[in-house]
Order: sequence, then C-alpha cells, then structure tokens
Amino acid sequence: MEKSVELKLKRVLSQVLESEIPEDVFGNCSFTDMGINSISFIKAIVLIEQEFDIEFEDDKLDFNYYNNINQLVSYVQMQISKSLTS
Amino acid sequence: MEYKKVLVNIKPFNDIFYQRCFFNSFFPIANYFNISILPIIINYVNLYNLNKRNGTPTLDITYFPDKTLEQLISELGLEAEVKKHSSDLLNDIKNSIINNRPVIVWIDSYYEPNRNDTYLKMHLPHTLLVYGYDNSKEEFNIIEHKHFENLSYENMVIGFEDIINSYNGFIDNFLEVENVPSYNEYYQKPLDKPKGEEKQNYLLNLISIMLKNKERYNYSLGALKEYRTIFDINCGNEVYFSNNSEVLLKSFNDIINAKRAERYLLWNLFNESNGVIFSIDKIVENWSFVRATIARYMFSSVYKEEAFKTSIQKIDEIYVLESKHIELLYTIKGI
Repeated sequence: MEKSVELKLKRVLSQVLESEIPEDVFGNCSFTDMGINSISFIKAIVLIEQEFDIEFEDDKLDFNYYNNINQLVSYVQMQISKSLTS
Repeated sequence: MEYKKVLVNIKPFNDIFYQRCFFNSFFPIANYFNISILPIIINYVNLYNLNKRNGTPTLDITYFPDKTLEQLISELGLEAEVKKHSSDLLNDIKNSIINNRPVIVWIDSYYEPNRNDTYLKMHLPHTLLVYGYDNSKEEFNIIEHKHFENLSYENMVIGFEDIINSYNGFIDNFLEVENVPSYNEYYQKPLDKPKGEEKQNYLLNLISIMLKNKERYNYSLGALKEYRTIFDINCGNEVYFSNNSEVLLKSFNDIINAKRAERYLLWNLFNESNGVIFSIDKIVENWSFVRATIARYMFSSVYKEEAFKTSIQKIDEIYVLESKHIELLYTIKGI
C-alpha cells in the first residue's frame, strides 16, 4: 500500500506545483525544497482527502508537522487504516 | 571590461521571509559584507493593525521603522548607490560587479523564465539580487526563489535579455506605484567607530525602540481584541468566509511571517530556554491553526464550524500570549 500511497501523493503534489516532480526529488525531500509553501500544502491536503476519502485532523494541517514526504505518507496510511476500521 | 566576474560567498537567505522580497535580496548582501541583519529586524516594530479600509476588516501587520532604511544601512557601514531608472541596465550591473558591488534590481516576475509560478501568468513586482555576469553565456548570476512566498532562494542564472525584459516590465507596470529606486548597488564604507559589544547593543536598542512605541503596543493589542470580536461575530456565517477567504488568508500569512521574523530575532538574542521564545512559538502555532482553517475552507468549500470555533479560542489565547510576551520583553532590562 505504501508505494501506491506514495505515487498518488506525488501526483497530487505535482498537480499543486503545476510541474512534474522528478523521481529523485521525493521521499526524504522537504516540502520547501520541492517548492511547496504552507498554503499550497493545504491545497494538496484537500486533494489528498478527496483522493483517499480520509480527513486530516485540524491540527495536522501545517507542513512543519511533517519533515518530509515519507512522514506524510505514514500519516495518510494511518488515516486510511482508521477510516477502514471505523 | 572583464569577460566574466562572480562575487564569491554570496549565499541565499532562507531563514525567514521578512516583510517583502526586497529584504530577502538584501540580507545576503549584509552577510556578504559581514554585517548582522539583527539591527534591521530590531529597527522595524511589527504591530497588529485593524484595517477597515476595504469593506472586510482584516488584521494586518504594520512595520513601524525607527530609522529610515537609508539611515540604517549607512549606520551599518554600507552605502547604496541607487537609480530610479537605469537606462543602461546591462552595463550598470556589470560595472557594479566589477567594483565588487552586488546589485538589487526590481523586476516584473511575469517576464522571468526562472519562475514557473509567474512566468507569462502573473504580473508581480519582485527583486533579484545580481552578483555576477558572464559575457560569453550572456547571463547574470542571481539569487532568486522558485515560487511565490517560498523559502527556496538559491543561486541561479538569468539571460541578459530576460533580465532586461523583466526590468522593463517593472518600469512599465510598477515603478510609479511602488515608488522605489529600481536599481540599487551596495558597497562597504570604512566604519567611523569600532564595533562595541554587539549583542548588548542590540538588546539596548530593542528596549529603547520598544519603549518609544509603548502606546503603539497598546493599540496593537486593542486591534487584536477588536478583531477577535469581528471573527466571533462572523463565525457561523459561511458566506462571510466564502467571500473573504483570500484576503483573510493573506493577512494571516503576513502575520505569521512577521511573528517568525520576531522569533528569529529573539532566538538570536536569547536562547531556546527563554520564555519569550516559548510565547512566540505558541503565537505562531495558533495563527497557523487559524490560517489553516481558512485555507482548508477556501480549497474545499466544506465549512467545518467546529474548526472556526476553535480558531476563536486560538485568537483568545494569542491575545493572552501577546500581552504576556510584551510584558516579558519589557523586563529584558533585568537581564
């Protein structure tokens, strides 16, 4: 599941940035390095919520909460699991 | 004229976004000349201001300068040679670089190919720091960021023709409104007096400026309190937030940038364990929550009343934190 979540997140972030994210710029890359700012990050979150039919907690909307994409992938996986068990 | 020259050791500044792009172009120059940027941040007191001008009241940040930028730069040991409009931009920049003077030019990002987000999409007044040129490649070395309001400043290059187009774009579209010198070169002058205990001087200066602005601090807290009431009255009124989300988002963004700059200053003057660092961190965290609530609504159109109610509590907390924060700063004398 992790790989498919990662691929979908990459697609969403590329959509928000309006440019393709290179393969080597992922995983441990910070959002700032990718060109994402705090507002475009929330735009991405809304798209991620729609893509996975999940809901981010209100206090988890700041990109400083996640050091890199990998941590965002983990959080999304956690929310997917939650939504499947609820 | 030399065929190619690059000023070495000019590094991008990505610690904070300060006021507007000009300062993020200027700070690498200060660092290049071994000049601290702290006196610049100290010089501008940032305070809340309730802006009722355009129909929707917003809580803005106003920067009150103690000295003019020109005075300040001069006191820091720099001189600026400026032009309202350069009629020979390429040669002006090259001659400046030859004389070891980095240059800040104002441009319109609409004409700048380095910017995916604005190139041929959006007209935006912006600054570039130019620190080198290469005649064979017909390009300048610049410090620029990749996206609007993103701390991704890095060393890049821009073609001669592109910088001319971008510069002319600024002259045509923004010079009159912005009323700034569009061309600025900087060099170091011999200091009149030896530098003293810098950190102690910075603290004394900070206290002195705060005391001068005591009335304004009270006004700032009053504006915050009044804004809290406005936010509360409109909570539950989805139409209000639907109509005003963009303007509200911009104001919260500016507030957060100002608070992060204050945090940067205080962190450099004190250390992590100081109470003022704790309070400013909490203020930033709370404003980030409020901003995220508005942004989420703007992008999703799903009105989560609970999050808006929590935002009121966050603003309440900010008021208490700001009051204590200012009190704490006034006790700096005792340090």
